[in-house]
Amino acid sequence: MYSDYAFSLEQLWKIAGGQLVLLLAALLIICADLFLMQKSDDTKKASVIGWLTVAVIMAALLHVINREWQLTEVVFMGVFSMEKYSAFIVITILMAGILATLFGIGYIRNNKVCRSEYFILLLFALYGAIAMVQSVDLLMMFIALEIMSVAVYVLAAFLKKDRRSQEAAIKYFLLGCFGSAFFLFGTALLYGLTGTVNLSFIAKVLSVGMFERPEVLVALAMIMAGLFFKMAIVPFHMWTPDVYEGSPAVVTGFMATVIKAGAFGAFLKIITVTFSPALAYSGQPVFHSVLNLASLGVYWKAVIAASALLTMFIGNLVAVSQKNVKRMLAYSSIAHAGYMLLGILAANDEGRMGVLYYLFSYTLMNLGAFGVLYLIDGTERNAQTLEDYQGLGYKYPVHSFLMALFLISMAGLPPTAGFISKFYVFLSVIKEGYFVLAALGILTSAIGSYYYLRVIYMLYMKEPVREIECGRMTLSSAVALIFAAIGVLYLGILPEWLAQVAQAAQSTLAFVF
Amino acid sequence: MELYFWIFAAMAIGAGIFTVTARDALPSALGLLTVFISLASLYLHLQAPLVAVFQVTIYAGAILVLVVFVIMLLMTPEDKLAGEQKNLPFRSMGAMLGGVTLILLALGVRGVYCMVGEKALSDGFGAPKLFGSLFFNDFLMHFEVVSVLLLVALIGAVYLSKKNF
Repeated sequence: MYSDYAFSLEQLWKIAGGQLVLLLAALLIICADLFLMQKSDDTKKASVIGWLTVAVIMAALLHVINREWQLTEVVFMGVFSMEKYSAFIVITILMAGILATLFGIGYIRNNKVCRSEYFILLLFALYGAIAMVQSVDLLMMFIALEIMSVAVYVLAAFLKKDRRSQEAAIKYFLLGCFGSAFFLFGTALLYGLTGTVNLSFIAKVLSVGMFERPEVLVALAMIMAGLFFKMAIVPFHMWTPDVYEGSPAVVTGFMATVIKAGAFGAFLKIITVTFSPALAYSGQPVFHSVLNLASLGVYWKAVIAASALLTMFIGNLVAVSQKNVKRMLAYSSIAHAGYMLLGILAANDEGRMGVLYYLFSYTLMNLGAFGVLYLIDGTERNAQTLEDYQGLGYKYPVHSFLMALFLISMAGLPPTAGFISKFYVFLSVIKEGYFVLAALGILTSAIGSYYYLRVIYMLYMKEPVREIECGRMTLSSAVALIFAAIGVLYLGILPEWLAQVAQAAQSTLAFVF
Repeated sequence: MELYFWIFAAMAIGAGIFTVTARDALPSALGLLTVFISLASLYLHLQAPLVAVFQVTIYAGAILVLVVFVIMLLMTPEDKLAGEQKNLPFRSMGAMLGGVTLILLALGVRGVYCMVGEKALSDGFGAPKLFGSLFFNDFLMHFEVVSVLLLVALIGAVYLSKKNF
């Protein structure tokens, strides 16, 4: 079955060039860190390596945009694919990587942990995330998932002397292994049933007869459990608040965007290619039988509808009672995963486009919010509660304005990107006839705006309780914040361009084979 | 041959239960060793000699030695695990969840058997030669990418365990 895939370096560079750039750069930066700059002091060295990392990720991003966006229907050795869909999510992930690196340069300086391991691990985590999105093979997906996760487990413990950071890392590590094991079990079951780990071949084998057997559903349930864990979907969300609160603020922003984008990208690919009739629309006679898989939707759609509803409600309701802004943002990220799940539930063109649009804009607003949060914090866990935020609007107008902008976007109010993304996902589920679910979802969004707007109320309409000293705003953080803020506003006012790109991206999912 | 399977399956499960219920760390580790060995025997029974060899060398050899070293370095002989085993509600909840997962798995595995049925193994199945050729042809990329995983784990371990940063 695989024999027609031969290894060719040129093909590898064409399809997985972004991965190669990141990997090579990570290895070179390790050496640079060791040998080249032993004499300069830590702060300077870390920021040089930080800017180097930004340049490298930018190079990978340009490679993906320039070359890989043009490719269609290309699969490398039955392992990596590079169609527009993967390219879109890879671009989202790399953009999140650039923002997290820029914030990281300032963060490690403010917290006096000037270690260049931050950037090296970040590069490896990015590598894992894009390899996971690009793979069309469940086994490779698992390996890439583990690369991403292991790098992020260590990043969560980056503040080694901070007990909360250690606690977060060990919690994430133990529960993360548990989640990954489920994914691996599901993969093993599917391999046992079909004799292949390639997504499109699995679809083909399943579609001729065995697709409605309970065992296939067990395998699907296990794969879903493993990925839902990474996406922080209720009821697999228990780790999220503690881990997000304990980890360094910038790493939390990175986790909430990159891991989510990676897991959502992989999940949407698995569910569309393997468990829905999408491949039949590619026009290939080989995949004609895949139309049968439409009847599987009855099972997974019910599960996704229930978890999306629970995720939106629990995320938003529990966030209301949080006093710590970082923990509140953790619950809010759970709620956002629920909205994105709605787009997957709809399983139509608009829904998939909505998920892609949501992921892109969510990356900008969430990383932006965590960027401001770390600046207001000064050093980690210095000023994170609602009380600390009181009256900051006059002392730090720029910080407060940016925080307000990102929170308004998360609340889903116009004219920001958050509004447009929510609009697309709700539109897609209404089109599929889930009226009650959409109404309840909009209700939770209203609950959500209460706690987002409360922070803005604290910033501008309360008297300060204690003196807060914000951390130093470095050039890198300023660049990243300006980029995120402009992005959030631009996508809110002129959404057509990105919507068209996302539409083009999602339509290529039928060509993953 | 059936008898062979049942003996080692019972041994693996018994040793597994002993591993999680033992009051001392060292007997628990030895219970784990028994699990590894009985699993290796089951792999032999499943015509997978290479996997059995890996199981013995990597798990029973390397990993278990590491576990025993950690016990030696971190625990004094007076330390008992009994104190850690008191939270009955959590343990019973864990047991329930484990039971449900087990049923789910059993359902899946039974289904694989029903669907795939009994098949004659192809020539040379499980032989190191065939394994190697699959490994370096079809799964070449996986093999290469796993090395990145090991590298990341190594960098992480060095960062976390190095003291004076």
